[in-house]
Amino acid sequence: MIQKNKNQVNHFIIQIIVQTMIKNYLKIAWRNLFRNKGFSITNILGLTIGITCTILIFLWVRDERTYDKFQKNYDNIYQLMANRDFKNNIMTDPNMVLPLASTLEKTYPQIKNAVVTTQDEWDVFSYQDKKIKKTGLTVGGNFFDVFSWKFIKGNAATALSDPFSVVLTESSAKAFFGDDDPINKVLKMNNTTSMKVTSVVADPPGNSSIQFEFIKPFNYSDPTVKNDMNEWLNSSWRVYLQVAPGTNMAELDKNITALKIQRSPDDKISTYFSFPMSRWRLYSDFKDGKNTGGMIEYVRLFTIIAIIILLIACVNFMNLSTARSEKRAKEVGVRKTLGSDKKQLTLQFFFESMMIAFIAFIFSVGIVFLLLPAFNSLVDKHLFLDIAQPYVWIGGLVIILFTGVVAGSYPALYLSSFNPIKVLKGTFLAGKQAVLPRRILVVAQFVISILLISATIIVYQQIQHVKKRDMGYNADNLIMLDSSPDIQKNYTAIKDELQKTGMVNSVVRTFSPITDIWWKSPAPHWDGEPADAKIIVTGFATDGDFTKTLGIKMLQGKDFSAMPSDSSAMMLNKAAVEVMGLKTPIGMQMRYGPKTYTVTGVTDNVVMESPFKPVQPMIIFYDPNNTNMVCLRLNNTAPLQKALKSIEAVFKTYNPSIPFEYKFADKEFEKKFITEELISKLTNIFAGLAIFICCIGLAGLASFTIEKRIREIGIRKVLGSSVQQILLLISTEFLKLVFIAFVIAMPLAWWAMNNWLEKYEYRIHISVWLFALVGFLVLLLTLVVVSLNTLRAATANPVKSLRTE
Amino acid sequence: MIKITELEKVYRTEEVETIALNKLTMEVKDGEFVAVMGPSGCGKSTLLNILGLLDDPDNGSFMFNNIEVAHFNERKRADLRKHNIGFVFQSFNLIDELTVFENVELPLIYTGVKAAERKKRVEEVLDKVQIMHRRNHYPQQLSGGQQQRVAVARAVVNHPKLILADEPTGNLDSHNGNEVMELLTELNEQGTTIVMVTHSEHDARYSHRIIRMLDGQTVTENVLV
Ligand SMILES: Nc1ncnc2c1ncn2[C@@H]1O[C@H](COP(=O)(O)OP(=O)(O)OP(=O)(O)O)[C@@H](O)[C@H]1O
Ligand SMILES: [Mg+2]
Repeated sequence: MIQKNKNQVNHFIIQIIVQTMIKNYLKIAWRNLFRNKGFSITNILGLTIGITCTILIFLWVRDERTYDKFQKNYDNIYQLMANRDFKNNIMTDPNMVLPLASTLEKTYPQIKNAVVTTQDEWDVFSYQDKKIKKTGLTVGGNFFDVFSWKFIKGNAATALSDPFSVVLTESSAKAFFGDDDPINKVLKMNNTTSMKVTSVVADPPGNSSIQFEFIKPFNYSDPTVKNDMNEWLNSSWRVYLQVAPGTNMAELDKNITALKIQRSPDDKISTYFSFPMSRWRLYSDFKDGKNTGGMIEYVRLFTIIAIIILLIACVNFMNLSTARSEKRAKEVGVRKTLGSDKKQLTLQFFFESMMIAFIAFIFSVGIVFLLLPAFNSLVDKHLFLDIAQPYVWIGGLVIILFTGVVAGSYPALYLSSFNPIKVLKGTFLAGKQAVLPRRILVVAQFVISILLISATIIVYQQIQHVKKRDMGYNADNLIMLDSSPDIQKNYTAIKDELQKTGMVNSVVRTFSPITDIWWKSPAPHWDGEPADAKIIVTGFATDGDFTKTLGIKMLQGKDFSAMPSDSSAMMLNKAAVEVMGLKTPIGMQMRYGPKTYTVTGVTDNVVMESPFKPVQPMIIFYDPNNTNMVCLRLNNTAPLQKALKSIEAVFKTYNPSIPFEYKFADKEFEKKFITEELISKLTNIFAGLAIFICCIGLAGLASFTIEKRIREIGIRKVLGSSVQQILLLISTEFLKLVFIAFVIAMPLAWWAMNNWLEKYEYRIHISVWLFALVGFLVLLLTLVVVSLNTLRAATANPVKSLRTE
Repeated sequence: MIKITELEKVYRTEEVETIALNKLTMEVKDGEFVAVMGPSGCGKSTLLNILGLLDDPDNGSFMFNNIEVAHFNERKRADLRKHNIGFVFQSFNLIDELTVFENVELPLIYTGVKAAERKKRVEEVLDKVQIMHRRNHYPQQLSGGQQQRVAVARAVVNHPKLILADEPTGNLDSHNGNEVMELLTELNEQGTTIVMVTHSEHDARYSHRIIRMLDGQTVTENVLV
């Protein structure tokens, strides 16, 4: 009985002791926070920036990594792709024949659903006086069985049951009907067909690979669709498979390839494979038929950068703590002799670093909220910190613990290993043993900063280099608009009227925009063609004024003359002449499909697809009926707004059913740099912040150094040292470290950035001068930061520092 | 060499205003050895700092070698100081991270003496204070007396015309103290002017003249022989 009581009492006492201990730790940590204001501010500032970066990057990374994950069948959805094996290139191609999906679904039981869709298409819908162009998909009837979208009105089962039905996204519905109920309302499509709205779904989330503003079903009774359903060679549709869990995909892929060869024996170059949904976003690059990665590289890179920036901030804490410890040595000594053991001391320091990490985290969350709109527009996403989500709290806790433990570990161990007697007797030279690790950490910080800065500059240079590349056409003052049946019908009149306005220099119709390639096919055949030629070329159709309007150089022969005789003429670009190995191309006969063409001209290479890659061979037909775009070269002396007004008037007259929408070629060209520009902007910001954190760390260290050497500075001044000599004395200590960092970082940066540049066939060569410049700038920055901190001590009256002993 | 008239120095802190020097007038001739004595806080160190051009007076005149220096700015004072004045402090004020040799070498570096010449002169002066065998030691490896001898060596290495010593024996036992005093006397006999603050009547007797101060003013002057 008594024994039990005693146990209880013991337990109670232990509880009190633990509570008071923790309270005590907190109290001391809190007090130290205020007692060393400079120290605390430097650390909190550094860690706040570090944690803010980390949160922002992690939000971005999370968004990238969760692409398409909202799909219920995420693990079982595949896109069917084909590797088309040409001699000059293995092309990985998502274009499939229309009947493939239904055939596959019928043939293979392990395929639960196979859905076919068009590529992104646009249609003009009108309702009352509203007429809007919308981008969407025409899909097979099982589209909503495979993909999960949130239905706001209507339901998946009946959404596509009628061929004249349309499903709108929430924002599309709002655009047409405002707050009215859209269900059963009728939209006129392309001025001809009436489509009934059957359902409304939420806009596809930002992290969805499939995007649309409307969905409509195939009309299988339409004659063209009927015709396409029997077409087994011409492919321009997308096919998605939903398979039964546990399906052997390798085997299925083999079967599909075999089935396809059976249906179209002429196609000997295609191998089919299923590309899992989990790889659509992050692993979208293919090279020579192999899946080589993609966005994932940047996701990984920025994950690493996030951690590194946080580490840089932690290093500040470590360095400043150990530097400050020289001042605290005595406190530690006294505590140790008073019986506080190693464990307690270590704990005390961890409490301090945790507290600072926690405060920094709170600040960071606030800053993230403030910065998110700007960051979102920078990365073109809709990221937000959803406090209701547990991952936010777990993430936060992990960041605080990580920061607290990493930042606190070294100072805690270092400080608690002080020998109390030496400390108290004053013979303990705290500086000496801490100096080397501290120097190593500073060097590491600067290595990373220099790496990031070099990367920033090289990415920028690469982008500029590619932008300055000769594109083979003139993108200034060039506008492009979608053609339409009305435009085709009235083209001669339109062209006439446009030229009459005086605002347009010349006009041409083209198969695709000059900034895109829509046509790839095997090369035509010619006499003397090597047996194993198997060349893939891009195709283009146009009419008269082609080179004149687009500003393309003719290398040989003549441009199309817009005569009917042109219909059997063909032009090649320079790359085609080279890859086909033609010595005298002009006048050669080319057999393409059922027809034979005569080569009448050779154009210069035009960069239409990736500006980072060499131009692909292209064959150009005179075929005005096979064009989808109209390109207008504006008169560059005409004021832009006025020019657009008069052009709009012309199109309004001859093409009233379609809203006047146009694109600038140079703007479209800029879009080819979206990824690179994003990487450039992000590395810019993070390199800047990394160097900033390094600098505040440096400033902190400099002031500790100065505090420690204040007497020395005084003595030197008494002995006749000038202010500059003092500044140099203190700076040299840091300049040396930064120089070492530079020497280490330079080869690393060179290697890493060459690796990155390898991705691009058209690229810069890294110049040594760049590193010299970076090195010089960083050294200069160090000098400035350290000098600014030293200046006060250097100009102070030495009498004062010599008195205070 | 030194002639100060009605010199004033006032320290102001938030609460108090301390008149450290109160219209002090005095003169030191070339080649003299003067001791300054007085109770703690009477302004001896303040006087020495002004004489050493480390601090500027608030009022009064300070002629150094017949030049008025009271209004000199920091840079001019530093320039005059490093060529003409050597300091010896009670607490030695050697730099711990530098060796004996390097400590003594410092003033020569700051006056721009070439390396070879520096080596010669440092060795010469280290010889003189009999610390040559310790030239590569660090200050903390030396006794107090040895450290002060290094400090004296450093003060004279530039051949200054004036040496200012603030309680140079304050941290030393009598044996080491006497050694330092003899060193100073020897320097004085070779022509260096010396002004020394001291609390010790014994040390003061090494000088030619004792100036006694009280509350920032000179009260008496004893001329010794
Ligand atoms: N920087 C300063 N700020 C404020 N007051 C000062 C300062 N320096 C000296 N004083 C004051 O000026 C007076 C003279 O000080 P000083 O150091 O010259 O005295 P001292 O004669 O050298 O004394 P001791 O023999 O103790 O060294 C003292 O009252 C001192 O408190
Ligand atoms: Mg004094």
